[in-house]
Amino acid sequence: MLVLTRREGEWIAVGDQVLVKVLGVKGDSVQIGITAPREIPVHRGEIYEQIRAATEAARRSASPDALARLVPKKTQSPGT
Amino acid sequence: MNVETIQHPLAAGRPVREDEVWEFPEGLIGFPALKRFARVELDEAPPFQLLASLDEPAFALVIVSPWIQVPDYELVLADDALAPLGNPSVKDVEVAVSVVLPGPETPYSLNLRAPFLFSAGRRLGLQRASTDDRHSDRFRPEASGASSCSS
Repeated sequence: MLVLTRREGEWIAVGDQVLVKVLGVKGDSVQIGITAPREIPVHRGEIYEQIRAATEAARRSASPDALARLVPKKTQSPGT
Repeated sequence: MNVETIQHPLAAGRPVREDEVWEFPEGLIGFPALKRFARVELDEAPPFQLLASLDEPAFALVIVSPWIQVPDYELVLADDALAPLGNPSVKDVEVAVSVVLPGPETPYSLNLRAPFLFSAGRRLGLQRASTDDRHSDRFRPEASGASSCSS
């Protein structure tokens, strides 16, 4: 991992299209501004990891056995 | 015209029509290399569908409209969230969420946090994180008292 030290108001260029600017520092929090093309999604790290893990859980669960458990439970008409 | 077949066990050998192929220019969140998917009905389990990667045959997700089980689901997205789809009208965007199928140790749940958005006009899809922190990535309809799905 590249580690850089920046002060408030300073910025970092990632390639030609992404700019990361330190907007402010307050206690143990750092406010960061990011300029990036629309096609580059930007997520808070913990949200990114939660979503990735949820997708992985869905992928792992996708099996014929699991679907068989779901079908009578979720698609049976009422009263049947 | 069938262009490919699904390899995943949930729909193994099923031919994929051209109009069932969706391009995800950004890939999925956490899986950026997966950009081409087949979206097909799971005939034995309506209204659930399969979103099967055409790049990685072993990767597939069961998906469903969130409103089937969460009628009051409100999707809140950033202003430019639909830009990669060409800014279609909201009424022309279909929404689905991934499903964790029930297992011995994992309960049935929906990922309301990061839905899939489909623009039928251009056969483009993307996954976006809701800006509403109340949306869970492991939402359990039965635990919440939400209505169950019936066909």
